[in-house]
This record gives sequence, C-alpha cells and structure tokens, in this order.
Amino acid sequence: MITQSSQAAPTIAPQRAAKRVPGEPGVWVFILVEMAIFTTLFGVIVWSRAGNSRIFAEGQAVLSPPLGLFNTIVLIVGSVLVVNAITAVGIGQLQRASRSLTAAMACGGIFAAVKAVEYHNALHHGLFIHTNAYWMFFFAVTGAHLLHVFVGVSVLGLIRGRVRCGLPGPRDRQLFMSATCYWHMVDLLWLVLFPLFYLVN
Amino acid sequence: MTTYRAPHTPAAVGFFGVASGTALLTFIGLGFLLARVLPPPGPYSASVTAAYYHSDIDVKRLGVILIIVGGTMFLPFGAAVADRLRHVEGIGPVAAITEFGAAVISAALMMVFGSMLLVAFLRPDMPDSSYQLLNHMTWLAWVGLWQPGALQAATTAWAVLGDPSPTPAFPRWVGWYSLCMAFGSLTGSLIPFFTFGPFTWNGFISFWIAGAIFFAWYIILLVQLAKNYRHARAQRTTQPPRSEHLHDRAADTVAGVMEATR
Repeated sequence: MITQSSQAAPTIAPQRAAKRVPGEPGVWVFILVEMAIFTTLFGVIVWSRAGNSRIFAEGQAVLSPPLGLFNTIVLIVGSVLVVNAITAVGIGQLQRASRSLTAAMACGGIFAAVKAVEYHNALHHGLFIHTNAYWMFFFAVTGAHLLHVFVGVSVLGLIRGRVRCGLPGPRDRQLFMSATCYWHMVDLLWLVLFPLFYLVN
Repeated sequence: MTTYRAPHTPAAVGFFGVASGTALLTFIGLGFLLARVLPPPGPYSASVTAAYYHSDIDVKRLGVILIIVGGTMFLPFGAAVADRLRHVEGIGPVAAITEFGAAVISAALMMVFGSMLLVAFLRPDMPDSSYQLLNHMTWLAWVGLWQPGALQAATTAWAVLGDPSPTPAFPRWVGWYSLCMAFGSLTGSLIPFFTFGPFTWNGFISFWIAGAIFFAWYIILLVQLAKNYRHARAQRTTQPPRSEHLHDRAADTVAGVMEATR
C-alpha cells in the first residue's frame, strides 16, 4: 500500500497544476495582451490629465456619474450571472446555465444602450472626438471598450448554443471557460474606466 | 492542451521562410533607424515637414530604400506562412491564399509609398506644401492602412484555431496572438481623425504600441518558422543519405515530381 501511494503522488500533482489556468491556456495570451494595451491607455490618460486638469474637469461635468455607476452595476451583475453559469455547468444544470448566459448578454445590451444615450448627450452638447484631449480619450477608449462588450456578447452567444447541447466537443468546456474569462476582462476594464472618466478629479 | 509538433516541411522551404523573415525585420529596422523615422515626421505644418526632407538627405534616402527592400520581404515571408497554413484541413487552402494576398498588398504599400518619400528626397527645391502632402500620403498609408496586416493575422488565426490536426501548422497560442494583433490593429482607424495626440500616425498609441504589436507578430511567426526549419533539418540528418543507392535516388526523384505537381 505504501508503494502504491508513493507512486500515485507524482501523477496527482501535475493534474492539479494543470487546472490552475481557467479555459484554454492560449486564450490568456489574447486576454493579457488586451489588458496590457488598455493599461497603457490608462497610463496615457493619466499622463494627459496631469497637463490638462481643467479640460478634464470640464469634461467630467458634462457626463452623468449616476449613468456611469448604473453601467458599472450592470456589468458586475453580468459577471455574477456568468459565474452562475459556470456553477450551473459544473453541476450539469445546462438550462440554468443557458438562461444565465442569456441574462449576461442582456446586461451587455443594456450597457450599450446606456452608452448610446451618453454619446448622444455629448454630441448634443457639440462635443466630439476632436473637441479636446478629454473627449478624444472618452470617445476613443470607451468606444474601444464598447467594441469589446459587443465581442463579449457575441462570444457568450456562440458558447450558449454549445452549453444548451451539453458542451459536446472536445474543446467546448475550455472554450466555455475562455468565453467567461473574456467577459470578466471586459468587466474589469470598465471598473478602471469608470473612475478615470467619471470620478477622478 | 495539444502538444505542438511541427508537421513535415522540406528544409529548403523552412530556410526560405526564416531567411525572408529575418531580412524583413533587419532591413525595415535598419531602414527606420537610418531614415530617422522612429517616430516619423507627424502631421505637422509644411515648413516643419520640409525641414526633415532638407537634412541628411543621402542617409535618409538609403534608409527609405532599405525599408522598401524589407517591405518586399512581406512577399516571401507571407508565402512561407501560407505554406504552413495550407496544410490545415478544411479552411487551410483558402486561408493560405487570403494570407498571401494580404501580404502582396502589404508589400505593394511599402513600394508605392516608399517611392513617394524618395520623390521628396529627390527634389530639395519643391514648395514646402509638396513635402507635407507626400509625407501625409506616405505615413497615412504605412501606419493608417491597417487592413492588409490585420487580414494576414485574422486569416492566420482562423486557420490555426480551426486546425484539428495533432500536428498543427502553428501552436494555438499563436492563433490567439494573431487574433489579438488583428483586433489591436483597429486602433489604426483613429489615425485619420487626429493631427495631435497619441492617436496620430507618429503618436504613442498608433505608432509605438501598434507597431510593437505588429512586429511582435512577425517575430513570433519567424520563431515558429525557425523551429519548423530546425525540425525539418533534424529529420533530414536522421534519414539515410539520398545518393547511397540508385534505387533511392530514383524514388527521391519521383517523390519530388509528385510533390511539385501536387
């Protein structure tokens, strides 16, 4: 028995180590590079703010912090729903997982609708990407983030179909986890963007 | 995770890819340094732009010529990548043709707009506004036209991520990075909107960050092609010499003809 347990130990250890990366390992190349690009953008925004504090304060005054906060809550709820879907898949409740993913996609849709209202308000005030440094960053960076939200919703939509079928493919479970990780990244990026554009003054 | 094992590629094809990729990065890098376009002249006023074209003309001419030579290497390097992609079951041949087509466009952009810079260096007696126009056209095309590079990366990602083979054309993470490169290239869409700030063609985001992501893709693919080349050479050295027997030589000839006509 002692011999058996000493032989089993080395095989268990690598299996545990392999489970540390959620989803497909290669997806993390994509996610980490995306996050590095956005982190650079955050740095450029902070650096630009140092020389244009008045312009940034004036820009913030036009935006509505309650709308930004609402969108933050919407994305956090979306992430909770995605976590719920992961739990449901884990215990084999595929219909529940599918419903959670649908609700998370709806959160992405609500976020985009609120963003459209914000863009409309800014344009209504005669503010656009050329106006000054603040609006250049606001439209460019939140626009890039909104594009990521669309991609996230599409990815959740694609994987939802697989979830309803019981994730039959050999890579389906990894792709499901990868899609959820991507959605969390979209959420995380907004958690930095919200204070940068709406709160920090 | 699938263990990466390179599929068989003739060593000569592997060498072709590695040599052209190395030449691409070397010539473009050296050209950028000599032409002093790290970063390039931005969307400045006519007099400021003209001043760039009136100093150290010969060294800058040499730099631009090297950039064009490096840009020409998009063709053989694109062909070497396409050769890997065509092995992918299903989408492979279409992805390979699309990738190579995009590489042709990339090379054409380098030749056409590089010549415009050479025109500017050829005539130091032009009005300042002419230098400004030539400078705007060149850099808007070289940095702002992100579509061919993104198409190359996107088709590579499409093929690599759809590759069901146990000996895939490239590791899957290369496919994910390619997707990231294609996605990141979208920042080039902002260039026509600005004449100041980090999103102009010589700005921190559009030139330095986008450029780093773009050339990192070439370095990654070059390293992968080099690995395949090493693998092919190792396979060749473990096989018996081809000229040992007349029978083997005849078999090699038939195999070579079949390979060429396939």
